[in-house]
This record gives sequence, structure tokens and C-alpha cells, in this order.
Amino acid sequence: MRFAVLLLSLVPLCAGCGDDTPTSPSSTTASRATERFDDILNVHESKFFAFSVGSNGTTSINLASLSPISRPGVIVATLEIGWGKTVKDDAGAVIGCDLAKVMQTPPALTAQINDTLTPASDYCANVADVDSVTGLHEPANFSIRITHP
Amino acid sequence: MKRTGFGIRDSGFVRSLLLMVVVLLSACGGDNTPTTPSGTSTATSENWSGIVAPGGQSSRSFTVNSSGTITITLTAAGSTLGLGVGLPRVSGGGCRLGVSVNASAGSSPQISTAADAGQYCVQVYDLGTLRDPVGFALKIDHP
Repeated sequence: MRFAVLLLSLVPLCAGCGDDTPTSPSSTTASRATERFDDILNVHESKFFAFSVGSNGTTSINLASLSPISRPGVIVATLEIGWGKTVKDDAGAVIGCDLAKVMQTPPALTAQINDTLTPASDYCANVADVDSVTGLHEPANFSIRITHP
Repeated sequence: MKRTGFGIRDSGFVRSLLLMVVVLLSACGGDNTPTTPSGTSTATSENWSGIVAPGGQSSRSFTVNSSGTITITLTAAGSTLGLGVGLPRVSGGGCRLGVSVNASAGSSPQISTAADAGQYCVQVYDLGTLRDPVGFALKIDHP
């Protein structure tokens, strides 16, 4: 009887052990979207692309590609990229990009701008050919990636 | 006389049982320590071969799962060719290059470039020197 009582008292003790099943790490990263801004940029021209940020987090802008229009390869040049808020006319049409941050950079496959933006629907990314020496000497295809929450 | 408790005679038995309890309890705990999520990035190597026609190009897309370095090694080629890495076109196929070199076949990477996670493409193209189609083979290493 004593053995039974003692062994019975050990059962719940043992039952409390052995929970080795690892828990899956909870996801704390908000979903992110990547948008592409592909177009042609002429010498001394600028273009912008409107985008929205859905939640707090890092927004990345990457001038990834700069290539000739009519032949393969790349164009070695420095362009100005940046972000800001869209400018609208009285009718509500987006007519410009009021820049808050800019930098000059050649293309690369890693983001050149990483900033924390507050959620809003009126952001814009801008690209411009601003330097007569290091900039474009012919029209170019460009590709910009915008990754944001 | 009927005994209802543990007597001196049982003290060895009781000690043994208490020792068992201590051992069992010592096995508990420690499981609540959260484990750091292990990195899911693994290096990937892809081989690709094809043919480039005079004035032509050939491209292939691949996915980089995390930030790291992309290396491209043109391992075989019938001529010096243009070799580049960039972003796949949104429509229509092809590749918008961010990096390119003129490359001859070799065993060392002709392109090594840092890249964020995302979709990429490699392109092999005629530099304007081909008179006939040429074959090529290359290796793509990426996170």
C-alpha cells in the first residue's frame, strides 16, 4: 500500500517533466511589400513614383539597374534618388514629389536608402539625372525597388 | 501491532524515494528558455548553360532568400561574352542589369556583388563580336 501511494505521488511529478517540444518563434515582423518603378530616364530628367506605407517600419529604396535603351549591358552613371510626399493639384491629381531626402548613387543590388517612415498613403520615390559629369549621357532604362511595410 | 507510519526500519527506503524525487525534479525546468530562431539562409548553387546567338542574349532568373553575396562564374564559353546580374523585367522576360562585365570562361567568379533578398536574373549577351552562336555554362552562388 505504501509503495502504491508513493509511486502514485511520483506520477504527477514525472508528468510535469518532458515537455521538450520546441515552440515555433512567433512572427514579429510585419509583412513587407516590394514595388518596382521601371521606366526610361532621359538626360537631365527626373521621374517619381507614388507609394503607400501601411505601418511603421523601414522603407528601403534601391536604384538597382541602369542600362542602355538599345543594347545590352549597364550604364555607369550616378543618379539622385530620394523620397518625399506627393504634391497634388486642386483636383487631387498627383503632379509632383516634394522631396524630404535625397542622395546620389550609382546602381547597386542593395538598398541605398533605408528610412523609418510613418504610415501614410502619399509618399513618392524620385529619380533624377542631376550631374552633367557623372550623370547620364544618353537615355537609360532604370529599375528602382521600393520595399516598405 | 499494526503500524501506520514509516518506522526506523523504512528510513532507507524513504531516503531512496526522496532521492528519486530530487532526481526527477532536477530533470524538470530549463525547458522554458526560448531558443534563438536558427538562421534559415543556406547557400545555393545553380548551374546553367545555354547558347547566345550573334546580337542576342540569354537570361535566367533566381531568388536570393536573404541578404548576402551573389557570385557568377562563367565556367565555359566559346568566346568572350557580356555577363551581368540585375532584376527580371516585370513583363516580357529578360533582365535589367545592375552589374555587368566582359567575361571569358574561368574558374574564379567574374562577378561578385552584394545583394538584398529578392528576385534577380543573370544575363549572358553578345558583345557584338559573335559571327556564330556560341555555347556557355555558368554557376550562380547566392544565399
